[in-house]
Amino acid sequence: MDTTPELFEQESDDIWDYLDSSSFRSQFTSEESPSKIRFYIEGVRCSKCLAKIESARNQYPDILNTSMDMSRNILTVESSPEGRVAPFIGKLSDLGFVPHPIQTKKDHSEVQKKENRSMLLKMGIAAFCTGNLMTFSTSLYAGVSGSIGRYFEWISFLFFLPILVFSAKPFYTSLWASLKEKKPSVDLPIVGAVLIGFFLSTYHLIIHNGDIYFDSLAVLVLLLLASRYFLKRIQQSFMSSSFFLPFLNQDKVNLWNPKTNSSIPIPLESLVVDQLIALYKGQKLPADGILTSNGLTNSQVYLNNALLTGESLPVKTAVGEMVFAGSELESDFAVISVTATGQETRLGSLFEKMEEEILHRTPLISLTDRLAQNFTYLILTVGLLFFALYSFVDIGEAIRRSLALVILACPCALALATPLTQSLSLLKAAKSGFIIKRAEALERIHQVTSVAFDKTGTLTFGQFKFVDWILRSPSQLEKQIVLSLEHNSKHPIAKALKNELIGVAPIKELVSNAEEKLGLGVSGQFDGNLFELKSLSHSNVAQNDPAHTAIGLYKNGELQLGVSLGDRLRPESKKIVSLLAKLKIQPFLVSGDSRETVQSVGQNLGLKSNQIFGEASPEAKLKFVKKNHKTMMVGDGANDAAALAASFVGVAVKGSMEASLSAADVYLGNSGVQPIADLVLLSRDTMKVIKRNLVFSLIYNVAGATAALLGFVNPLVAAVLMPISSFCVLSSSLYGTSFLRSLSKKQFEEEA
Amino acid sequence: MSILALMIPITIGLASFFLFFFFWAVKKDQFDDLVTPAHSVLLDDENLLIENNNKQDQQQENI
Repeated sequence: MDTTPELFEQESDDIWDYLDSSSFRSQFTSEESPSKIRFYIEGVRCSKCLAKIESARNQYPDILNTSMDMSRNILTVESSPEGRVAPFIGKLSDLGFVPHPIQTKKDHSEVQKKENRSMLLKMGIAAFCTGNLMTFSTSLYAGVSGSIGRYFEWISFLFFLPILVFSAKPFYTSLWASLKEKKPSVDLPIVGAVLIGFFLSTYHLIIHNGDIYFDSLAVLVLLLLASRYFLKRIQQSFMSSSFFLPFLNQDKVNLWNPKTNSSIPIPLESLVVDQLIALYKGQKLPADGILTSNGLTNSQVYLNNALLTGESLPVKTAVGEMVFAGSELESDFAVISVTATGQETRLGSLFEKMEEEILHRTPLISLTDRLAQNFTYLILTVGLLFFALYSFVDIGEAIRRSLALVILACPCALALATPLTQSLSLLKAAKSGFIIKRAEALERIHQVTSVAFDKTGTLTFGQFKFVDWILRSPSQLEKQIVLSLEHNSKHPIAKALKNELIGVAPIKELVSNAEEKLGLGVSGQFDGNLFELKSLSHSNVAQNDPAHTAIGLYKNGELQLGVSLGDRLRPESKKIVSLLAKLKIQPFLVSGDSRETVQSVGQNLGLKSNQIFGEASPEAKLKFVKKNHKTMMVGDGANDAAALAASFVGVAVKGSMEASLSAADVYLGNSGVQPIADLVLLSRDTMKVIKRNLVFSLIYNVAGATAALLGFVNPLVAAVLMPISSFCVLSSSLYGTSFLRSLSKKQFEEEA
Repeated sequence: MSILALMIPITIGLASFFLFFFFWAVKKDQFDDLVTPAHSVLLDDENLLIENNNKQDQQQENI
């Protein structure tokens, strides 16, 4: 390959090209169906979206088939064996359906499918048996007695057996799992009630005397199964952490031969240390290395390190400096001598650290489980005490009443309402565009006391852009002069200005003798005057924010006007930061950008200097979230991934890297940080409803337990009370989640 | 009361029929995706996504 500047332009515009690389295919498709790739896809919500995907598919003959599962947001794309999927996926991305490839090897969808079906079958059996059981127990309550009554009781027993043995199995297994970790969950009182109820009732059936609880227990199992199935299905519809694999979007690198000044592509895997590689504009570095040459034209090398360090500005890199994998080349050409590849690179070690943190997350013991645990101990103590005391009066009655206590005190309403409330909240959240991966995160968000924001790409747009004019706005002619001056420049400033002035009709030859002096700006002649665009050395710089770069337009050495450029804050950032403070959550700014920039951005947001941390390396961010327990980390880049995984709650914003998506608990599908406040309000509401249900359920249980001990309870009372209490908490959840949400939304809007 | 001896098996038989029908529906993927079919019913008949879904599943079963 020649190295004339024209050929430097051969950049790969298509960011999805990597989908067709062999190394990608080997990692993201299964051996049985190598032509099928699965994507987690955002934004498919209606029939119109489906139709759009379909008509897009028909334009690409390489795509044989697509199938969309909207309940899980998964699109399966099947291409012809040698076909390309990149153009089709690029099209989808353009349509606004953001695709994220799913690694098939760690995909559990088949297992999930099986689990769902077995859960459904269990529910079907439970419903069948419960329904039949009810007909017989109703007649029993209505007064059927004698030999027919005996038959009916035995039929009830037979119908309860499948529930006990088959349908209630999930409760046994999850109780066993929680007991192994010595953290008994809410399953303990449930299983206790089911087993004790069964044995007590069977005993009564055999001796033909006493209470029979089969009907109440059957209803209990059925309702609990249904509420858990519901929550499970909803959680499955969101992305799972194991979906994503950090993948450098490249599989070939250009090996550079300095003798012939040419490069040949080789597979990335075969790259070794000390080899020279050529990098063209827009490419990401595939390995760590040292910059050895900037090409024959001796132009400056600019690298965008935003993903790795959080620096918003492209960094001017000199020959001999270290460069790291993941950086993107903004200038035309560079040659790099490789010092580390793959896992050995800084990026690789960051991903490794992130995976380690995901593995070592401490699970949260939910409020429901903690309460159920204490409640179970309490009931057991009371039961034993009662038994010990009452056995002196009447041993038979003592057994009967203390066992009735265990059945009646089962916090079933609690076990029923919590998953339901959570699933309603998760659904609501997904509808407003943020995806909460696990219900547990709702409870975590509620406990959060501080929020650590990443700066670049999170609170700001993450792009070097035009910010404002200084002194005055330019005239149309001045705009054209600026455009003409910058026409040939590849400098990031030129790029930003050209983007801003996109509507201005360019006149290429407006300025004569245009030239660019390295580090000094551009200059040219127009109408006999010398125009220059160079850094603003005037005292007016003082007006400018240190986070921004300022340049001035000079006419014959006289300053006409200035332009301020930089990474702009998102419009809602400041509002959200101050709102969080109102919600008693302390905001922090933790960024890898230079200290002055971060300081100035932080001050713009209204943060105090002890809330601002600049020049924070990925390790420093990790340390920060570990030190400040109960911190919510909000970020997007590879440099945030480890911190996201280690933090109490990790939130990835729209446009995040796959690594961050995989590490975070919550993904904000709408751009910006606006949903952070909604998220906090939502979790507070959810917990409010859950707590209300807890209180209600406990009152009911205590009353039931007292009645049981006093001997007032018979199966009929239990059969009536249990559904009533369940109905109460269910309606409380349904009512609470919609009403409280709209209320707090109103408050939020008023405050804002 | 001998009518009970007839009625009880009939009710159980009827319920079993529905249970069997439910099992059949579960096995036929009827509950796997509850969202997409509601939307794809509005699409034009050719190239229905749901059809493709079924085709794929059949292929998988054949494998």
